[in-house]
Amino acid sequence: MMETVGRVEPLARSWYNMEPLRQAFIDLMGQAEGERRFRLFTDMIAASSPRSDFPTNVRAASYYYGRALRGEPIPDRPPSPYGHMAQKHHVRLARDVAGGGFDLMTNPKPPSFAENLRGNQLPATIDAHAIRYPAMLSRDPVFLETRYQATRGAPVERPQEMFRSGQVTLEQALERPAWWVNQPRVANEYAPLERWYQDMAARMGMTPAQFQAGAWVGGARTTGLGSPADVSALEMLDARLGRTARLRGESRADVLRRLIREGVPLLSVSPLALATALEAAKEDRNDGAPVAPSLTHVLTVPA
Amino acid sequence: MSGTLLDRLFGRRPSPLEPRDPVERLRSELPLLPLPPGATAELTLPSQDVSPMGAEPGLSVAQEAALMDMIDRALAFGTGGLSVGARGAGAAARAARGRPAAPQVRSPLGSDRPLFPPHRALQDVPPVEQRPLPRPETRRGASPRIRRPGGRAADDGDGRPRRAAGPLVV
Repeated sequence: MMETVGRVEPLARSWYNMEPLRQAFIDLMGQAEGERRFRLFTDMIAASSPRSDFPTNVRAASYYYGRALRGEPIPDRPPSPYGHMAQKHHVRLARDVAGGGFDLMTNPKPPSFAENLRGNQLPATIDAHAIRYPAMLSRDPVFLETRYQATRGAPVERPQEMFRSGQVTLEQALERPAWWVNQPRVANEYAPLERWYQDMAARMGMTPAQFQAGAWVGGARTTGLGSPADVSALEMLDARLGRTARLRGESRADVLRRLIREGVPLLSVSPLALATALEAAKEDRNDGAPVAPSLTHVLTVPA
Repeated sequence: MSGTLLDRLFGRRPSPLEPRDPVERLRSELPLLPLPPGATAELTLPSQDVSPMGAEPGLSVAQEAALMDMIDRALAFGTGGLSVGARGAGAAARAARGRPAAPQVRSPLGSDRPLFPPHRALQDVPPVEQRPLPRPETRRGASPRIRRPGGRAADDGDGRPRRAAGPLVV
């Protein structure tokens, strides 16, 4: 584990750092309101994180953030493209956030993830990969799932039984990350795993969140991580802002500002609406109207 | 016709929260740009009262486009000063003749420059309180799956070795 984290140390140290985003919220909304909205946004990222890759996670979070910001109820079925195969969990957690907060004791992972994203890096986010990676490194079949079904209707597999009966070898099982444990048992595994991550982090001079991020990206190939493993959370958010900006014909700054201020979600433009808007813009620019006199303003970036 | 592309996409009027004056709007955008303190941004806009798109209050489409152009160019410059909107000597000459250049509208697809610094610039822990979260703990003791070398459970709060009941992970 330490070797793995050491190989990706620069990214591990920066993965959770969302400070520039927090500053953007504060710059736009003021200290108190900016902090409140940043908290809401990061909580919604955590709420929509189960079983989701991070870019998809952020997109869904922007939708839930907007709903909560405007005081709108969270619907049972989010509209496209904000739905997800785990949307029932996302909706339940988003309602928890909108209704006052996560339940730390029954599901400690989402609030830990939110704290890490907000800059408190002392808790460790023990997600599927945070338990799966050391479990797979241990090569102990006790961490194989007893029952696995890839999708509804797919054949049910019993990896642990298959190994015990000799149908598959351990090497074959290691080729199937989804066969391995994906959730710590809350009552007696989350806390000891977190303490272990905290111990390991201290030995490497890192925060627990940094060490966990390092194991997350460093162990990506082993555990079957769906998110990009070479960029930080903020860079993935930035890329999502860019994608939305290109679709809407706006700047990234504009997309971010509208997200923060109005809760306009990321990447929600239908192709038809986009074509209509682009056509309208084209007409606006080619209307042959006389050119107006201009006025130049010079603004200075505040110190 | 006023408002941004987004306003039209969502079929709504601009938010009252949004600064309608283009200069004020630019001012609100500046903190989001990766520019050093003291850098200047120069914005040339058509006068709103004579803008062909200025029939409604608020930003005209041309003003909106010029502002986005400015922001995109600011992002393209990265760090350092920028001067956007003025078109150099040619623009000054045209302005002197009463025929200033119209704002140059970039591709409606906008800029692809990152808004935030890359991860290598973000390796410090943010200046916020570092505090633990309360965790669920069971009185039944350790998980049979997670134990420390030496046969001690990872959550052996009482410090006593426990009977080996499972594998060692850490």
